[in-house]
Amino acid sequence: MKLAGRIGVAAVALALVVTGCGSDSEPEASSTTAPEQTTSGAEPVTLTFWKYQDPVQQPVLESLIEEYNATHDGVTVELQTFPFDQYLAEKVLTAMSAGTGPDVFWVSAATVLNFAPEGLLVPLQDVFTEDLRADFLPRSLDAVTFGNDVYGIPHEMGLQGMLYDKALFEAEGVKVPETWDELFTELGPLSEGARSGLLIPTNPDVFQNFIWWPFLWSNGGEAVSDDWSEATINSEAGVEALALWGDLMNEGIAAPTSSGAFGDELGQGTVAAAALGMWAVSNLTENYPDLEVGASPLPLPPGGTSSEAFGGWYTAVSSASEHQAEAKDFAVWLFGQNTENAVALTRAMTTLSPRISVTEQLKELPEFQAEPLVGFLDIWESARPEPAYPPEINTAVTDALQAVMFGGVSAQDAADAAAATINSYLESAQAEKIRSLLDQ
Amino acid sequence: MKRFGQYRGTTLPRRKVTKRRSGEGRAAAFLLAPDVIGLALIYVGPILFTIYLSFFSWNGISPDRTFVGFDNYQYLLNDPSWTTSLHVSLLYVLMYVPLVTGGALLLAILVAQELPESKLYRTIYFLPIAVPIVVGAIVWQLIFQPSYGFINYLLQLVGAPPQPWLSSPTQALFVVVLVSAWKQVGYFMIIFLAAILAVPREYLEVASIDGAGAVRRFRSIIWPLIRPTTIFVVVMTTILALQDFDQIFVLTRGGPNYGTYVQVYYIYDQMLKFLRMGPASAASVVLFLIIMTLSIAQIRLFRGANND
Repeated sequence: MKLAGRIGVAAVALALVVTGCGSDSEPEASSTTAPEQTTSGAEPVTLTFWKYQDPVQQPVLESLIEEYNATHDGVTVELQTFPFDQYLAEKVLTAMSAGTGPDVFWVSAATVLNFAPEGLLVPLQDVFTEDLRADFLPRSLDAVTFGNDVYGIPHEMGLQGMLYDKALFEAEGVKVPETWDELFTELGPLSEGARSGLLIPTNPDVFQNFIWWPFLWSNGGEAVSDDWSEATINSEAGVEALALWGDLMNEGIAAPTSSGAFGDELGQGTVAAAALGMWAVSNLTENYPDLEVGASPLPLPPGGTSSEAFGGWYTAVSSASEHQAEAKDFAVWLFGQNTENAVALTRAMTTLSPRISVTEQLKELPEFQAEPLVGFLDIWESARPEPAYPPEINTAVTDALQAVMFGGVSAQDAADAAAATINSYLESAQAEKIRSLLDQ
Repeated sequence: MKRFGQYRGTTLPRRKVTKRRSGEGRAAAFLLAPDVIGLALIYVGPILFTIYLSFFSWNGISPDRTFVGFDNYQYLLNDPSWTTSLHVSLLYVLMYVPLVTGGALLLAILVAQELPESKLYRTIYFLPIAVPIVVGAIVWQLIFQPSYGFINYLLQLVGAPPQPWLSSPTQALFVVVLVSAWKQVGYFMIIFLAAILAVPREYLEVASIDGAGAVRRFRSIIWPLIRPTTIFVVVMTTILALQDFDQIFVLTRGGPNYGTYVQVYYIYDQMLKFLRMGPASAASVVLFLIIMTLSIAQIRLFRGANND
């Protein structure tokens, strides 16, 4: 209520960012010169481990940490979680730039792109060795590898797909849509009253892009060229994929609003199908036991090939940590070494793993051999990682989606506007810096 | 009841401040110090630092900061999303301020009546203040859900077409304003209520005896006497309107298609999404200036009207 109020909030946040800046001036020094000072066991070490809140992951991580603490003398790991919406943008960013915060924490690929060049993360390849990395799909490590340095250990591979209300489709005698056209012809009759045919994300954020990418890719399109020299979103393929989402919304097939990434609308019966992925299965089976969930690949354009994306988080170590040796040891123990840990987590999350031996074990589990999860096993090898685009590119794409879905803008105009924004970004010095990182 | 003479400050003997004993001054300074230091650290420091940062290019995590003069301010003018957010914020003010000021005044008049249930209503209208923002916003999201929400159900009952609400760039802003108004109106009702109850009964009684109806009594007695409160409420609601963020973050994420992309959302995005501390700071400074200018203008305008 104070006059300075909201500005104060921004200012205070900025001040938080800044107050630590002084103490943060030589993070690299501490990262390279901090030897294993505490492994001799003189003083007990407490490691802070940060991640976002997730009710499915929480019990698994708590028991893993309990096990680690019981088997590692002199080291205690403390788990701290934050609301998903505030986790990266507010908590991690402000803490890292202030040189405080966690020893070990979860990051997205885009965060690694921001933090690693600034020396805020510790390279992990000495503990996350080549032998261990050989067990991971190479493309799951691309986004966190710059030159020889590997900055994150992935643990999940949430594959995309279409989830649907099986009983409803059977009762109405409707075929599960396999093509873009069938999204309209099959889901159209299911969109009536309080129920919409299809759930696609409506909020303007990266999750919306994430779900849209396979529609773009399966049509042969890309947001930017391979060498990041120019925008290609306004190609014919891009315009068509944008138009598809615009039409789905404007013709009343798509639900006008969406709640998030876990498909509650499907459980509540307000949508017939949802373009989401396997990670939502745990929520749906847990909270909506009456729902019979079906899964199928995302519908394709004429002549298109399936190209689902997978998202996932990485465990990273902060260079501001005073106990880097212990932090690295914990990080690699968590999901880089013994397979049981990763199996326990991904099983609870109903996702696969980018780690070959872990996914092999998951495939043997009864729930992964049955519907709806069994369908995802086939695309495990071909799926593409979510591109680690900087926010400038991601926002341009989100803006285009919002414009066609809610702004009454034509797909061509929206695509051209996005291409112009992306091109002007690609000409900036900042983009040049990222290009050189990716070339390494 | 106060007599008019008491308002004449000149009749009170004035004390010379300079003759204060030094011990007293030291004690005062000592007692004020925690507050002054606290305010300086929490408010003044960050504000000054924000102004300083608005002249630099900085990503918030790198040790390098480059002085860029007024480039960040120029950047705002060239950034269409800043212009959009300015437009959205002004629309927000135009809807929110009359809605909350008028609504709070109306409620205050209603609950000021000496009815047995008045106290109950006061509590009910004040309750939304106590509801956590996120909880309130989620409930309203369900109420305004286009395909199965309660409002569209009501519209269909009376034969009106359902509305897109939160999935329409224009209607979403209205919903956001309404939710914010719902949350704040009880607070300003209490403020108006205090002012209305402070109006001396005798004035109203005398006016009634002279034959003034309820409307006339309000217009000629209550309205002029509560003017300072009205100024306060208008200024405060304008400030609140320009600072809203939480509801929008929960309800719409600034969408759809930038329909609820207010100034603070722009600042948030620049700072935490794009890591552009310079433009974020410059936008904060500009918003601060807008709020200050509007507040001063409103106070002057109302004072001027008062002197007629």
